[in-house]
Amino acid sequence: MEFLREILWQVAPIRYFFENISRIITYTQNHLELTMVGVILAIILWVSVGIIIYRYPKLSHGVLGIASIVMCIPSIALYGILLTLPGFGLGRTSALTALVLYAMLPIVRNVFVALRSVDPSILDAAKGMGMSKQEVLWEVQIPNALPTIFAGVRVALVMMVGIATLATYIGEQNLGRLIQHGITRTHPTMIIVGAVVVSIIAIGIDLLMGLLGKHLISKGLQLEESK
Amino acid sequence: MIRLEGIGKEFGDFTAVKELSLEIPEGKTCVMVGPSGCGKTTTMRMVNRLIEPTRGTVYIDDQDYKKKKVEILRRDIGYVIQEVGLFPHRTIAENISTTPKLAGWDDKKIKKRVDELLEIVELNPEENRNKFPRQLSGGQRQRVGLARAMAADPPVMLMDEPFAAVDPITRENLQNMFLRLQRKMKKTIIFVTHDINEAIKMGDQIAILKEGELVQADTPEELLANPKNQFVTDFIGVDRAIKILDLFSTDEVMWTEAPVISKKNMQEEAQKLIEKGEKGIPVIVEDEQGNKFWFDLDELESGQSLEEIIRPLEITLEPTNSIKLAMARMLEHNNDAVLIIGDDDEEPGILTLKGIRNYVYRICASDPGEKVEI
Amino acid sequence: MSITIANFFSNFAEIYGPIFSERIPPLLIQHIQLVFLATGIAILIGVPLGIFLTRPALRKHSQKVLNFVNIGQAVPGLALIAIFLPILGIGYIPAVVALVIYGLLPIVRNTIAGLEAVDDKVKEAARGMGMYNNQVLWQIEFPLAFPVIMAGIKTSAVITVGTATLAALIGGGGLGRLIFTGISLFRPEFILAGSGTAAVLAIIMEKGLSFFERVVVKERMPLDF
Repeated sequence: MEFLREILWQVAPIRYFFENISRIITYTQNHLELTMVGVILAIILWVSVGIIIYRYPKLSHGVLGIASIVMCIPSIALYGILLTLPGFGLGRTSALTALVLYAMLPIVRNVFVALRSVDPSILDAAKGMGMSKQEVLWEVQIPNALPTIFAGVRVALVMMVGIATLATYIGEQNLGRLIQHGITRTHPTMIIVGAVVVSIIAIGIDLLMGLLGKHLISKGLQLEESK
Repeated sequence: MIRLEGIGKEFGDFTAVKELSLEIPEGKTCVMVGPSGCGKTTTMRMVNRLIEPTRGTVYIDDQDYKKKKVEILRRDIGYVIQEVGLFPHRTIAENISTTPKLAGWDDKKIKKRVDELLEIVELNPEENRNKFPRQLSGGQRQRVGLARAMAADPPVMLMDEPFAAVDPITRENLQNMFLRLQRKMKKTIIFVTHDINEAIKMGDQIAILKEGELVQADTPEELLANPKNQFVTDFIGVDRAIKILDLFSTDEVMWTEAPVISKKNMQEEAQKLIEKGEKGIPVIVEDEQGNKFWFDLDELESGQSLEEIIRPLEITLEPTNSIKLAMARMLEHNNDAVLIIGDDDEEPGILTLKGIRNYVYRICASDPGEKVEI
Repeated sequence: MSITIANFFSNFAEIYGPIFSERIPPLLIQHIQLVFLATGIAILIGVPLGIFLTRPALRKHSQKVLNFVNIGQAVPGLALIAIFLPILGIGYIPAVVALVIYGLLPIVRNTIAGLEAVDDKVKEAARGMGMYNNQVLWQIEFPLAFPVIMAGIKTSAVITVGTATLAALIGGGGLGRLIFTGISLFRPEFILAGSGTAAVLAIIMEKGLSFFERVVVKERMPLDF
């Protein structure tokens, strides 16, 4: 055991990781906090917008156009632009705003597309049985659209973990900081630890969302089934 | 009872339904049939206000349906569509309990009702209750669709080509099951189809539509016997005569007063019948063992020996069987008559090929619009 | 009012004039070069790789490759760029290598997805008419999958425009240099000019490729995937 520890200790990133564990934990907490607040705000905002443009399809072209333009803007550029705006500046407001904006396209588009692609005969049957417009939306359309909506949220969340890394340049104390300082100090070990930890978190969240989806989405809508 | 009163629908410049009035008596099935684009589905969808009529209204049990809130109205009208429209995210049981839940039934009552309905549509509740729609076959899904529509026991049902999307064998099974159910349930039904054969089979009343107008509404028998015009005749099809065979039962065509003579002295007894002025009637001959034979009195005029003319009467059918079945049996056995024996209190009869021929010919030979008594 | 607007514009011109005439052009050219080079190499590697992975011999593994690619896409751009620094050092080449690898993922994914989506019955019909396997590939599968592949290339190019701003961090140059300089010196005009140009470049890239997609792909391929 002692021997194994000796060997691992020789590997610089591992040693760095354990020597700085408390700082890394703080960075991770900050990172996750930012992403989670961001994704919750994004879901509330963009699912509503998705439903609105489904109800008023005339708006859809404009809204989705804006969303796809936002998506194109390089993240450091969007942070940069927000940084110079009065009322935003360095710090969490800018970081959160950018994250929520990037989540716009995957969530709004998936909500819109998913609601539209619910089989019309199902809606016809629901209406014919005497469901009100609200009941049709919440009891039939949304549950049927859920797999696609959830996929959109998953993509948005994983993307947000990555984009949050860059928020270190606008003052967020998160895992990006290890990479930022590693680069400025030419400290490869720091860079590797930062990059690996943030990648593991991103991949982990992606896998976790996959599992969560299996529990959240009705078995009647899942493609694979136990035979 | 459903009464459509001058109901009509325009979509922009296009008139889907002109001005249609129709009454469907309590407990009867009215089948709306016609070529695509004739307005049959539009008319049906106006009854549960999935399409809002441009003019006219519908009375359900003498109450103007516009006086009810539209969702409440729909909960009392069972609705079955070709695509079934089961909710894929809900189990079979959850699907069936949709309307009872909307109506606020308690869980125990709903659960009991679900099982009862699955039994009614001939699906095993144990096996199917917790399945999802995608785990069922097309025919099974349509059964669940039917169960779901009947869940809150609505007095009225609308069915839009409900059996069109399944294979012919499944379709026939579903049709027969539905007929059995309807005999017990006695719901007031509007049934839409493009298939005249299905219309004849399912309907107590058939309404033929063309370009948004009602052309003829009658019982199937009346429709086949007295098509109102060339359109109806064409729509019924070139095989109207065959369809008639399917629609009428043997007791409507059979001969109930055929004389029975004994085989031993049949020659003399037949002679007596001719002397009495009888003509063109079937005569049944019975021997000492009870075996039956028959001949037509007209056949004897040439003075032949009866021994050469009589042929065995070996097929027995019931009065409720269709003439089509009788025809089939005669062809199979190379016979030209069958014996019809019902319950003890019913008079037995004989159904001959010649009788069928004359009967169908009388119905078919008339021109469209000319009245034939049936 | 008109004075303030005039002032604003003269101030604007005073501040941004030199930035746009002197600093932006070389960086923009560098940025575009970086994007085109990286995307070009990514296409040259990604499309054949995607085709290769969908051939019968390897087809059963294509889902695993897709899973791997999807996981790869979860890796943040900054992490990917940074991780090459210790391995390849600082400079233009490491930046291109990092961009190629990051840009490969959407291209490989869409090539596989596009080819897999071609109806087996269509392929069977083609073989049934006597086509060789490579004829089936080039005359049937590839044209049918092309819209999906093209969409992957578009995604890759737009992502690369964004990731290329990070190349500045490892000495790859490009518009990122102006942005990061602006951030560290807190010069808002540098940040805005660099960010704005990068954003416009990305949007032009997206719109341009969408236009190309519509004209070239959709006209020949009315099928909707």
